[in-house]
Amino acid sequence: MSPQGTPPSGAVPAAGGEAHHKHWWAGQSKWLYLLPAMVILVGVVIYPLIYMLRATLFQWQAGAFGRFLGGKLWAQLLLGEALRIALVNSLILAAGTVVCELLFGLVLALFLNESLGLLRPVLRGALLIPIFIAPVIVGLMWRIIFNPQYGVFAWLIGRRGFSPIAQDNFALYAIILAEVWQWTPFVFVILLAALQSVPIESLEAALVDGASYLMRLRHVILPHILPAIIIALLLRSMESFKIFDTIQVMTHGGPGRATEDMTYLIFRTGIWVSDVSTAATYSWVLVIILTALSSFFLRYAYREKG
Amino acid sequence: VSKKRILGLAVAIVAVVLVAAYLFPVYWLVSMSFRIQKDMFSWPPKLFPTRITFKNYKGLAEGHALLWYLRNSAVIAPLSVAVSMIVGSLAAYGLARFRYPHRIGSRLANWILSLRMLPPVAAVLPVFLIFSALRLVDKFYGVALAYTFFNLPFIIWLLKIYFQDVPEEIEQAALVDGASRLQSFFRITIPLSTPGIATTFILALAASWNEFLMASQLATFNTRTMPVLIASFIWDRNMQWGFATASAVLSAVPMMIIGLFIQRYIVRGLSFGAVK
Repeated sequence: MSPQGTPPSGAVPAAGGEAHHKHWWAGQSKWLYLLPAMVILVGVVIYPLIYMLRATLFQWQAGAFGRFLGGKLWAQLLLGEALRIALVNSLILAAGTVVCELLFGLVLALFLNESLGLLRPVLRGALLIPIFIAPVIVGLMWRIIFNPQYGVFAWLIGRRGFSPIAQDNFALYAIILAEVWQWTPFVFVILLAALQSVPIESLEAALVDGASYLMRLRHVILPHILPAIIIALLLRSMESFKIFDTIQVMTHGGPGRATEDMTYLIFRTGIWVSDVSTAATYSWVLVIILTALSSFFLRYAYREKG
Repeated sequence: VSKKRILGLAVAIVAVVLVAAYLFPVYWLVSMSFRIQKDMFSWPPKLFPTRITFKNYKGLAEGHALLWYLRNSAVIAPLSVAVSMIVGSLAAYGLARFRYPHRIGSRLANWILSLRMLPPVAAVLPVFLIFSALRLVDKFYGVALAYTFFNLPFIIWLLKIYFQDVPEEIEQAALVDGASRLQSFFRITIPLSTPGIATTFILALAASWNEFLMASQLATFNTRTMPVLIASFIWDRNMQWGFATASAVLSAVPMMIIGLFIQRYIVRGLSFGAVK
């Protein structure tokens, strides 16, 4: 996964098996490196997921599994309106945030890559700030800005009493804005580093050939920073279906269900309503979707990198 | 030449204004936390407060056990990251360096990446039930263990990228000289990937320090963390502006100080080997 194009670990030359050992366990110590992590992951991820799978098949009530449900809950929930709304919201959130973060991050990086001298590290350092702020705080910030009575946003657009987070058709975009605001700098830092490694010779060669800025961008700059773009894309996509804190702070999934994504739907059914079997089924729908997405995504990402 | 200079100056001014505007929400939050009621709730909004007050911070320290929450955060986040970094770096090294039969290595790496996509909410219910049975709820190590849910996959995946960037030949040389695998890992691979390790560390630390959902369910009383305190001032329809903003500022400051100190490493780490 290195930008130089090192192939995935399967192709790394074997190094674990020193041949001069004569015992059968020679070279098997490589498993010990993975063992502790696997034990923990089984404990905090696999076991809970299996527990949840059981809860989708047996009605969970007051701490115990009861009546066998089979696929009844699945059939009922898969056709339900709540799942459809949450899935659509999740997809809009994921696609919207990742696309905007990459786009704005790239534009910002191209702009700050211009000759700024000593100013550049200062501005870059300042832009790192949002990355370290808790999503809860980011939600709080934007909720204050979007306050209908005293908020800066209402003042800017000159409509006191208007708040996008209270509007069915704007609330989701307000959440996207908060997320994009927080994570665009992350993409920006990755891409700026890549831009600074574009060889000057190839840029100059393109200039001599009379290439316009857009042509240089298309044929020299973008191909060079493609590995960085893919890493940024992977890192951000990994987080894109997990948006919860900003929703909880800004809208509580509302108004109505306008900002209820899969994460929030699981939270609402499982923790507010305490309907564990329903929440478990939604969780598993999400697990299946994310597994499919990530395997598709990884195949594509590796192929791109050759 | 002078035309070029003016252009450069214009770019610089635009860049500064752009970044300042970008960070306006941060200023606004900080500024709110130092305001008296009248300046907070004014129309039109006041860009600068007429008077600066520490009332919100004092109220937090006196009435809301602020230090208690800060301490809990300061125990749980580093504890979880330390465990995840130790366990995760070993796994990442294994995945980066060894060949496993049946492509287990790359399959495992992909699986771990897909785990990172999974939101904690999908596991928080069973984790709570299991932890209740094991008496791990509301314990420092319990919450820290729960945080490995998102820390471990992230750390393994990121460190694997960084370890793969360390040239294999350097390690081979050490192995030929009689060093063991673990020795060459600690003495060669780890020092050579310091920026990557620092980046991974601060990102995982910030994620744990800032985590809200699991904390709200598992850190129920004695171990409540800063994000839980902040959220407790924010309700569905209303909120306590002064306490919410002041606790937010206090929660954000430690991470920013650490981030500032290792900024140089983060920038190098996030270059993923593009800039040496």
